[in-house]
Amino acid sequence: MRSILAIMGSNREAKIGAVIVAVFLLTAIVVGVATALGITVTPYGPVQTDTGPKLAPPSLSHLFGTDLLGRDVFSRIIVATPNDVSVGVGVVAFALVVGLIIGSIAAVKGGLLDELLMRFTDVVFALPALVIAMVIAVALGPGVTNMMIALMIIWWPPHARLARGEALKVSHQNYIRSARLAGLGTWKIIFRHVIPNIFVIMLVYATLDVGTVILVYAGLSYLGLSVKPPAPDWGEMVSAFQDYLITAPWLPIVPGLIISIGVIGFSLLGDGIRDALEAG
Amino acid sequence: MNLPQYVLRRLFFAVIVVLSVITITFVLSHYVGSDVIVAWLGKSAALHPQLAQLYAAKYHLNEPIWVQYYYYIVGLLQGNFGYSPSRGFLPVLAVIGQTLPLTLQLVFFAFVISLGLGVLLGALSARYGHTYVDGGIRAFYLAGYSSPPFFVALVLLIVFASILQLLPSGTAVDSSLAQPSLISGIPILDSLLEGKWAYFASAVEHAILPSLALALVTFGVITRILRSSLMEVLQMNYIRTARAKGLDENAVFYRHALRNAFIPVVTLSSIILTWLITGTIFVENVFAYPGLGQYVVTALLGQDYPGILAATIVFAVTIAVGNLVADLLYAVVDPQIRLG
Repeated sequence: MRSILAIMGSNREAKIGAVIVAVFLLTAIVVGVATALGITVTPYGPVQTDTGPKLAPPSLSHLFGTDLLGRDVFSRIIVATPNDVSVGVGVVAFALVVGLIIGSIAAVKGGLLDELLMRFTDVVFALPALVIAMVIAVALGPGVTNMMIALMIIWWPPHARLARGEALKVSHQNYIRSARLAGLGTWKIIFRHVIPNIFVIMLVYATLDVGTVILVYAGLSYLGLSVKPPAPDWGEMVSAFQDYLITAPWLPIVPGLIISIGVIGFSLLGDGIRDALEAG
Repeated sequence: MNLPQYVLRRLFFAVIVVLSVITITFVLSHYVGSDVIVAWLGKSAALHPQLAQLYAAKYHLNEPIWVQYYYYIVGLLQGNFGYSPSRGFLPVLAVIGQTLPLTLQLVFFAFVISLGLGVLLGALSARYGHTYVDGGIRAFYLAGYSSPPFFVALVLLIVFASILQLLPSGTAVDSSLAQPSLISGIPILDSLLEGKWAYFASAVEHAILPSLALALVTFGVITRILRSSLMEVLQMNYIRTARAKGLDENAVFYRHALRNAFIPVVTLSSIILTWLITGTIFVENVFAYPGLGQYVVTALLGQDYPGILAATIVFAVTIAVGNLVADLLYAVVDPQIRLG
């Protein structure tokens, strides 16, 4: 692990990715904690109107300008950070755990259980994920948590497939055979030997996947399936201001770019860890 | 396993997937919204309670969900997808007939652009590996696949349709033009077959921006895999032999390396296809392109569950067919692959 960090440290792209991811995570945590405690950390309240002139261009007092109700766009973007970050990280963390469990059980147990688990995974994998997530989201009603649940239900199969493949490689190795001969139970083998050995590879895939989930979430939010106005959300901000692209271009462009930058951060970080793994 | 056996197995699996989609979506869509009658009829539901009752009876809305499921499956087997409240109670099948061909057009163009751009840039990237060309291409595709499709679509719409006014936006064709006759059902293809050039040109013009938006967010996956696959192939012995024989670098690259590096691209094409098909949901809504992606969103927001169900089934079937074709292609391209 230490050598991986060392190699990553010499990779410029991985460093940029790590910095972007750190900034997004920190912002999300700070805003999340502050909101829970009822403290305002942003220059203005996210739903506070008439903080300045309406549709003002970016300036020192309004970094990203103001919208047509005179709300401060910078404050709204900062306050929306926990939505996208928590959906991205939450959905992938869930998929990672479910994937690790299903994949390693299938690989270690083999036989009928393997067949059943993997065929079930195949069926869920073949569902049109985005459409099903949309239907689940509408059925559950709007909201960030419901959107997260909708995506969790549908997102784990690729993780399970990858975990099974990696666990199969590991489980044919001698130390697992000897652990089995020594009479270690399946669960102990899975948790002590299999999962620790496939975890890093799964983590690379998970890091890359966070960006994809953020993109999908932003898309659902753009279609109006996530937060209810006036609560801010990046995808929703793009759609609410798309008619202002010529008269007040910063309104839709800034939230759109923020989404892209966040996704690029996770992609660069994931690529960096993978390159480091291959080199190390 | 031989090819026909493999096809049968895959078909059987596809049927299971489609059945699960129907069941899952059927159950879910019944929890979409609280009062379906109000959503469907609007104010008339309260003004005309008898009408509301008639509708409820006609669509079995007061029956338990399994009874409704039974009626739905029976209807499906008879080719009846129900009626779409968000489209003035038109038969859903007719709405699908209007919208799906438009979406398929977009996906086709997007696939061609994505593949063309992806292969071209992937080859360039490997040919000039670790140079500024390579770096520039990497920055371009990274930005592409990290951007939300709706955002890319929006930027294209504003730049090319609103500011430069080079290309039209909204609708799928200039509405003053007469429709081509139904041959394949796909307007662009039919107008081409019939020689209706004005219609053909207009339909292509309307499809360029939406399909370009879809291509820009997907081509990077192809570029990336082709680059790394080419880099690997270029290290192999047979390439060294070709070089040692005195072949010039271009011949080695294009004739020997590119062909073998292509296999992972074919595998990937089924994933790309899935992304393109679901990506139309975002892109069609930005461009007001009246395809299946736009229909599914209006159906969702209008609690039109016959529409939601049918659109979801059609998406699932399209993706299943796309994957099947890509897998078969893969088996044909690479004889080393064992089917199964």
